Amino acid sequence: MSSAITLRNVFKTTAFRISAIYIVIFSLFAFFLIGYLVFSSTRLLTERLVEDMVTESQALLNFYNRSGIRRFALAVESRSRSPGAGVYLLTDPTGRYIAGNILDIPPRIFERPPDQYRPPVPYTPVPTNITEFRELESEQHAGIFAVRTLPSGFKLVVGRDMGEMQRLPGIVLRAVVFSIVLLILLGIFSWFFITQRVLKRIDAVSATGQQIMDGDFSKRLPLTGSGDEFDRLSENLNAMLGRIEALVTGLKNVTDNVAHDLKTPISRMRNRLDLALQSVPDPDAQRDVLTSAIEECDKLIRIFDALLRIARVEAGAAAEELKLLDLSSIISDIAELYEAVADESGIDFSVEISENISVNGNRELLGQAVVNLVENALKYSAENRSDEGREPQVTIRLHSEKGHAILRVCDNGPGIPQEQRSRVFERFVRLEESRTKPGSGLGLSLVRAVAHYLNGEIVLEDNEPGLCAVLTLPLA
Amino acid sequence: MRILIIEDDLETASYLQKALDEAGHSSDLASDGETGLSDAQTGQYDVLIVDRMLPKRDGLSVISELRETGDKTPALILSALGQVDDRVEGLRSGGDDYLTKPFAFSELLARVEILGRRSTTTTADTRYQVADLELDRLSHTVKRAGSSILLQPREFRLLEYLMRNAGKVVTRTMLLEHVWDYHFDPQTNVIDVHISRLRGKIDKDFDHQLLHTVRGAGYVLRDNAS
Repeated sequence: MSSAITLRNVFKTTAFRISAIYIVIFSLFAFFLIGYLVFSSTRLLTERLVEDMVTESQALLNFYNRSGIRRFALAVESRSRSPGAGVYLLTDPTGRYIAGNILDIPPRIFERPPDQYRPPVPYTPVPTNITEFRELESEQHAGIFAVRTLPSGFKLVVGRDMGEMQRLPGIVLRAVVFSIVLLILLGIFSWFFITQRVLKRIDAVSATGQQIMDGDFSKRLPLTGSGDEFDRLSENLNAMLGRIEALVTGLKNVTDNVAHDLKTPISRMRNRLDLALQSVPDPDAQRDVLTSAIEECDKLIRIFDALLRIARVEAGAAAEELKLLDLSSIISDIAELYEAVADESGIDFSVEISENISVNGNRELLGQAVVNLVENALKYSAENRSDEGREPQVTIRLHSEKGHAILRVCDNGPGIPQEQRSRVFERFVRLEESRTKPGSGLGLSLVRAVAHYLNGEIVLEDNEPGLCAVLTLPLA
Repeated sequence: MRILIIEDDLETASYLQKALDEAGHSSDLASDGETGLSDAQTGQYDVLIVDRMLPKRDGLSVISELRETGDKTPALILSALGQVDDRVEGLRSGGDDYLTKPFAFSELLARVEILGRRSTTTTADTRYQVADLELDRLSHTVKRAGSSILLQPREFRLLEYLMRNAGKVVTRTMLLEHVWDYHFDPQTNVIDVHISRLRGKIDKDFDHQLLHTVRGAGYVLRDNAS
């Protein structure tokens, strides 16, 4: 997939969709907020104007009552001429113009109740110069008015022009639309640049992924070192890739091991059966061959099962949830089981288990691992008896230390040389000296797989003489 | 006993039928899950042997269907899937025992016979008796020919299991499962050693042997004299 950022690609991206939704929501919200503000402020201002107007009309009335009609008319006229004035009209009882700056006003305002000032009513102001005269035709004025009737029948109209108030929403709307358009354009540009960079990184990840799928498991995703979400994602993916690589390698190892170590017993068995078929059949001899063939088959089955178990534990697919286990009682049970065997074989068996040591684990797996260690210890300590006349001895110790449970299974057998100690954990590894003894070479592989699965560790130490297998597990 | 085998592999099935026949049991065969389910529901069997991987309907769902309708016929699950979680899954679906393939026929026979017996006897007995050997579960005492025998707790449980299944062959794997609650495969002859210790206590100084070894299969507690 090319990294060309075409317009069509852009519309398909999640980034675009998220941005678009965000812009729409934001704009709607802004729109309603501004609309509400405009509406509220208009209303507030209008109310102030009305108050102002009513106060003025009252003041003028008082003036009339003190000063009489002539002075009053002059006062109205002078107010009309001051700049920034309201609009005024003084008529005689018949409605003829006496003073003021209103040229024309619909007569219906005189029929309104005196305290009704709204809605605004169109009117024509008196033009003060030639320009305004010309504009008369094109401009529409509207105002709110307070109408008062003087005791003598004269009528006073005091008003305020509503022009600006009415233009306000229009102005605001235009400003808002302009801003939104600007916002969208800016958004598109900056987002275009950002997504360019983001899409490039995503494409880099896809490309590496493709290489890996084509078979190169050693490839890893690049990190920019900025520690951002993409880097964290890449780190996690790299860890995952490392795991996949290990699993694939492990799988290859298993199949190689299987090929060699399992085909050998199979071919042994086949040879024996073949020989038996060809030689003169003697019922006892035949019986022996068949019995040993079955035994060989059983051994193979056990090896297969052990391999499968190891493979599943290593893949983390043991599937049973880890439960809280009383490790002390598990070890006690196993020790008791094998104490009888040790006794039979004349092996000194010493057990020291601290109580109440709990770990998180799987009873079957742990049990099998410990059994493997104990069986190994018993098997190898018995070896010593013939070699050097030493009393064979196996010790099992369980105690806790610094947040860990530590199990030591020790024997005083031939031990394992330092340089071989890591090898023996691999599948099917039997040291030269033990090649002919019973056992499949899988015991320690399982112990290691289980130890790692339970976040612990298995280490082999020199018991001087002999071997100590030390299994460490985190306490629950 | 009447046994129903639900198994699609003809070779395994005919092997089972022949061997069961030789052991004195009669058996019927169903080769897929649906037929197996309807046969189990209509017939009266003592034990079912059910393979997990079946065409039309898998073994575990056959068993859970039977359990849901209240059918308690003991079922032995047979499967190549042998890991612990496979066992657990099988037993949770309503199976009574689980055996992995390939298996030794003696193992299968021992387990089937013990399963079949469950439907005829109750398990709530507090005292077991075989010849002059007595075991009292409540007081945890063991006597033979009137005299008390002192057993370790584990030895007691071992004898208890043998006596509960007296007359039936019990394999080493079964002992490991029921007395020690483990499903692993020991390399050494752990069980044999414990059995011989037990023998030393309950058989050695008495007039005749009750705990016998069955070659190639396991052990049985039985009074051969009667």
